[in-house]
Amino acid sequence: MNRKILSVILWVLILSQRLFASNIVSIRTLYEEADMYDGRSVVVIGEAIGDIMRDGSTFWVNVKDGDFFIGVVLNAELKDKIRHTGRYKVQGSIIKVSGIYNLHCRRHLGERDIHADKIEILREGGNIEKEIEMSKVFMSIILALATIIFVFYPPRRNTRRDNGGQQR
Amino acid sequence: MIPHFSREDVSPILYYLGKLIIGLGILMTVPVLLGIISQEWAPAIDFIISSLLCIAIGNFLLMTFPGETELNWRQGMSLVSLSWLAAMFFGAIPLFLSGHYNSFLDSLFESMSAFATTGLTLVNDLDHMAYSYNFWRHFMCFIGGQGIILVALTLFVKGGSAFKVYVGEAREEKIMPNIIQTARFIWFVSLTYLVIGTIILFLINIFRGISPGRSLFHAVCLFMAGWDTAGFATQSQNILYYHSPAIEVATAMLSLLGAVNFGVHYAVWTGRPRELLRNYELRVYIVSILGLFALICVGFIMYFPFPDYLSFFRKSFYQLISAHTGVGYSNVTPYHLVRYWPPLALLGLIFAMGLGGSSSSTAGGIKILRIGLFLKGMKKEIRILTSPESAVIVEKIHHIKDITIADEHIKMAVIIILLYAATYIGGGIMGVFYGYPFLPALFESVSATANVGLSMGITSPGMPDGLKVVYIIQMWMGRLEFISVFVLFKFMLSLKSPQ
Amino acid sequence: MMKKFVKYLKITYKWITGITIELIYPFITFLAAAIICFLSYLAVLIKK
Repeated sequence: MNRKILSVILWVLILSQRLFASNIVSIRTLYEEADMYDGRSVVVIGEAIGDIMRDGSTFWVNVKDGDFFIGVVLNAELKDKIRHTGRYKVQGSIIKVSGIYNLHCRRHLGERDIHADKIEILREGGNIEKEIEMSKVFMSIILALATIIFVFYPPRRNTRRDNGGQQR
Repeated sequence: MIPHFSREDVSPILYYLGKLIIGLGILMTVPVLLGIISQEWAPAIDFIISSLLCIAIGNFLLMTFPGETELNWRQGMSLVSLSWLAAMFFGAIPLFLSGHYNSFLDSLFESMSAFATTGLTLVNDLDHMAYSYNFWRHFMCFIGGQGIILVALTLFVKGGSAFKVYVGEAREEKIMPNIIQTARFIWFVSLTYLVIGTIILFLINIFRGISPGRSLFHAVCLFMAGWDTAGFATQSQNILYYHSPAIEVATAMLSLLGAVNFGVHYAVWTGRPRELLRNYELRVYIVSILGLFALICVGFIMYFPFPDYLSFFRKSFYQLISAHTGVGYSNVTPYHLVRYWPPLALLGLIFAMGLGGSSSSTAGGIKILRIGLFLKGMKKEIRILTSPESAVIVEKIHHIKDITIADEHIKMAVIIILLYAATYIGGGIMGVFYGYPFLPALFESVSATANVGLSMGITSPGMPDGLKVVYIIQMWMGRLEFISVFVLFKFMLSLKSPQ
Repeated sequence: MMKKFVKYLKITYKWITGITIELIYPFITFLAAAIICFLSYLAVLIKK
């Protein structure tokens, strides 16, 4: 009886491990419960940010999920899938990264990273238009006029005190 | 009799303040140009608005308070403190207009953090920020690190007033006989390293496959914040973004050089390289770096989270250099500091931040020369007590030239050390008051006062407004080394009740 | 003319050697720190 319960519990544990491994984890969780996920296979979703940087034969890209970031190590083939990375006026592609999470990666001098073995583009990024606010344009015109007046047509100076605030 | 402040003092102070604000407005044309080059029209307009506002208000002050006279000491000191507040205010305007900050207070915080070369940041979504705003953040670091006043000195203040305002900005040493020459030399050093540092960082970036334009942008910004020991970076992850040991080595090297006294640079560059070995301050500095690093290592012996030697060295030493030079670049996250750094190692970092870099450098904190003077003073006292009464005890140090230490030097050093210590602890208590644990609160407070910028996670857009104000004041006082701020306070009080 | 040229050459020479020495200087510090770090790493290994 006892053994049966134990084996059931064991199976549940193993199964949950399996489920766990394929579950999507937020990057925040990877920070807060780092020890639990260290060395395991994880899946994260986030926006590819900034630049794709070469490091020997592999590449780095940073993935942003809320206020949390993680560096992802890619090979050349996976890297080519990412066509947009987030920057000004550009929304980066939302990608789903599956790979091994390392809290202190041995291959990368202790970096916290994910070694990706699969990347899926969930939503392709693209350009964002930023409109110019007309109110700001008006404001700058008014300020420009004010500046011109102040600089070129100063009102009569107060000449009563030629020596200004002189020290005693 | 010491003359009291009066309303007479207001006019010349505001006159020069006007000039400074105009100067800031002129400097804002640089991001305008960058905005136009990179086709960021909306940001360019924000900078045009801010720039025009500065020029208009500056001219208004010039007109209303005509007072081109020579400043006396108290006016000079008050001017310095006020001009840093004014710079904070006007520098924050484009940041606020950018929409990346939750409130104007947040952009004021960011602006003071940049000018005081701290590097604590409250920005939202930095990764989608326009180049021109981002450049302005780093450019403010560069202006503040050189010294707002120093920048102004090279632009327009002339005559005897110059030295008085220069001293107010925590730079009492004249490297050359003339203050304008000194200012020019400081520019010369910084621009030389601007070229060297930018080239090094640019090449690393290019080698890593970043596009040339962005490589240059990253390189210039990293240099400006690294050399001037500010610690802003172009991306939210700070140095961690690059995942590159090469970038870390380069920034550590630049910030260490930035934390060296400009007088030492002058000596070495004019054919006295032995100054690097003989300089007392630099010797104390190196001993302090190695000593505190040993302390951190001992902390990690008790609890060792790293897998191997290289990652241990990389993570621990980079934080230490970052803390001790006051740069505040970080290759770990605040989470990592909180979770994986043993308290002893954190204490080592706090001490390193508190001591800071060399005097007359771009670094903040107590400054090593004061610690050195304090140690020499202690030695002198002990020698006096253990020598025959008739003996005359003289302590000397070699700092650019041989200097005999007078009691006056030691007194000033100890006063400033105590003021810093009080501010560190006071800020820590304020942090605890707002509900944070003591160690992170102390860490953050020291980081703000010593203008470092490392964080254990307290500094975030969501932190209490009161604490933001506390840190702004700490950054301001820490950068100006208290005295000129106190002069300003006295000035304000005397305006209220004129004698 | 020649004298002036030699003078500038000397100044430039001093300047460049100065910068080179300054650029090497941090690495000596880093090296010393690396040794300290290694010693403590040995201590960690022994403790384990």
